[in-house]
Amino acid sequence: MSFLELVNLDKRYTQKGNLIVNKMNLSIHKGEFLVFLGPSGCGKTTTIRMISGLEDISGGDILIEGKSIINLPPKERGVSMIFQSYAVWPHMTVYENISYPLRLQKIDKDEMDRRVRASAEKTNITEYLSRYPSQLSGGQRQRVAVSRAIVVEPKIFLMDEPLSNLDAMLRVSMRTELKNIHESLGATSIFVTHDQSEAMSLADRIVIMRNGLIEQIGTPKQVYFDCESIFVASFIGTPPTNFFNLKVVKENNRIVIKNENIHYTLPISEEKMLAPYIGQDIIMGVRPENLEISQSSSDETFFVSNADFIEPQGSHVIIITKVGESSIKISSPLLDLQAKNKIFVSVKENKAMFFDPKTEKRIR
Amino acid sequence: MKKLSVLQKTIITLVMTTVLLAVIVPIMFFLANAFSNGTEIYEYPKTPIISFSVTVYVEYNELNNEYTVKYVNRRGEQQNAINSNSGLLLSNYFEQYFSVYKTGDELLEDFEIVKTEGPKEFTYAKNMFHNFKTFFYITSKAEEALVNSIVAVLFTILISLTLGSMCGYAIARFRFRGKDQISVFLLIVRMFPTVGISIPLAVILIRFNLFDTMLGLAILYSLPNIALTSWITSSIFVGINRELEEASLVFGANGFQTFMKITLPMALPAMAASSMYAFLTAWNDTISALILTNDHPTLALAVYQAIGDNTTNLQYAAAGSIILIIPALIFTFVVRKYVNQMWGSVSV
Ligand SMILES: Nc1ncnc2c1ncn2[C@@H]1O[C@H](COP(=O)(O)OP(=O)(O)O)[C@@H](O)[C@H]1O
Ligand SMILES: [Mg+2]
Repeated sequence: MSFLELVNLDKRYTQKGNLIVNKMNLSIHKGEFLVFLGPSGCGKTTTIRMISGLEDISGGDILIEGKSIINLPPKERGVSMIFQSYAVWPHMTVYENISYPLRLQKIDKDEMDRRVRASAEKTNITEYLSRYPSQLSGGQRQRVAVSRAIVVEPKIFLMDEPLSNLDAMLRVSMRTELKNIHESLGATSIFVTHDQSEAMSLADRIVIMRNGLIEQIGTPKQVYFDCESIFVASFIGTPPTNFFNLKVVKENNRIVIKNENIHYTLPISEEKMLAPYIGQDIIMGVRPENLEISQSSSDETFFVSNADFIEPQGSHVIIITKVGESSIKISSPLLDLQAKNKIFVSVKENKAMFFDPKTEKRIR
Repeated sequence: MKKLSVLQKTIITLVMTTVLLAVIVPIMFFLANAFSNGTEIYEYPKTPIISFSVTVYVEYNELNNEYTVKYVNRRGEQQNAINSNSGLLLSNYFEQYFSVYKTGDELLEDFEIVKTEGPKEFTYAKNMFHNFKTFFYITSKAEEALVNSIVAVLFTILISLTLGSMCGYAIARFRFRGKDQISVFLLIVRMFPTVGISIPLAVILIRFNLFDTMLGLAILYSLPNIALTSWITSSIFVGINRELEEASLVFGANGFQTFMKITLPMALPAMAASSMYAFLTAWNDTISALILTNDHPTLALAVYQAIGDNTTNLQYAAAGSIILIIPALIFTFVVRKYVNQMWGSVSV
């Protein structure tokens, strides 16, 4: 059984306004680290605020362990939250901040002290317990927020871009720590971010959102290599997926996908999938690392071009080239490739993704 | 560049000196008045220095068998004071005009020496509390007035802070129709001279049996201060990050607990500043108190009446004013600490 379940969840901020969250269905397992990923304004914050009870819902239901929580106030939902601004109370010491939830629960003093210290230890802030937040750095305040979130032993952790105010170095080390804490507590977490590398490195599963809709739910590997839509393919990955506008035709009894510069013979195993599209336009997407470069022409050659620019990345190079009007990026292990050289590009077997140009969805 | 900074320094020094003088000189005169005795108060020109003693020049007049006592002012000039050989008369005169507390016998004993050794100057310590004692003596309701003032102040602070901060919170946090109009209207209330409201309010207060009560008076004082408090606090509430309140809700508090434990403490500087204004409005007002009370004056009113009844004894009114100022000073200094307390000013 799923632990947390969103059922047809809707949200509008004004009566006749847009659906900010649109019929969202999602189920989260116990112990899972789920990441909401999407561009700014897609409704990630709204969704977790609805789960926490800080925002009313406009339709649908939210269930924790099978029970609807939509009529409960935030404090009775068993969730705890790490806010983007940390929301550490400036007029309380670190100790008071962490113990605040326990004091409200009227937990016995010794027990409270023990729990506050234990959670402070988990986040390495024991030595700052008597300080005020203004005497702490951003990273330390963040730890206080984490400490306060874990002290209540919640059913679910909600984190809204908790790392976005930290500098780049700290962000990376802190995300490892968050993941460690998540694992050591056996917690269930929802983490919101618009940073895909954060999402990729933390998530058990990623929920990719756009305009209040879920575009895809999957493991980091799935959302990267097995995209459900053009949006996901272009949003995930740096550099993003290369797209080609092509036509599906039948040539010599094989299905071929082509335009004036490009020629791709579909593997037999995929023919059935694209058979209905013969004679129609199609969008083909290939990840930069799934394009291969060779110095000579072959049957597999996808297109022929010049390596206009080469950007060394250390372990590999990014080759920027042009086919027709569109710019294409290729990630290649050929470190000593020279710019302006002629290149013959082919697609790794079964690594092309095909999208319907009307629905922008993957053709399966 | 350097020349400019010297110029700047000079200007700043001049400005600060002017400001200091503008503040200090009147205060010095005022204090000197409050501690003047009945003779010093009529001296001209006045010295803005408090004197702690009185010097008299005493001659023995054999013809009438009496002492001629002359007052010696700070420039050494003598003024006739009293001719007498009665200890009682001398003692009364010394108390009333010199603020010197000596029995007749003590004085006569001191003066004895003049008979044999000729005229002589004597210096006596002034009783610095004389004016204060006299103020309470001649102002029959001074003690009651002090209590009244405190009650009026407490009511005023309570009413204006409670209503004002709630109104300020609503303006800061909620969207509702007419919000802009309300906040402008609050400022307009502030522009009204309270005396203008006093008269119509008197009628209403009589209706509700609140005329001549401190609660009635506090309601009047609260009117402009509710408006002011809403303005001051709403600007602070707007600045308080909502996430701080939301965190409190998530971590187990209800709305009221959140307001009391999170929002209000962070708005403390605003509350302190507002309470200072409320205090001063209620504490210093005379004119509205004159209109809205009958038998129960506030201290400010009592002082005002002491001056009005007793123009010849300005020093007692000045002493009354000091009594009026002291609580205001204490309150201001206590509260000032909170006004300046911005959470986060403590640096590493
Ligand atoms: N309180 C609000 N009132 C009206 N619209 C809002 C409110 N909060 C968010 N929105 C709108 O909802 C959309 C989604 O916002 P949000 O959930 O904050 O996005 P994200 O967190 O993914 O960046 C945005 O278009 C935003 O303008
Ligand atoms: Mg957001």
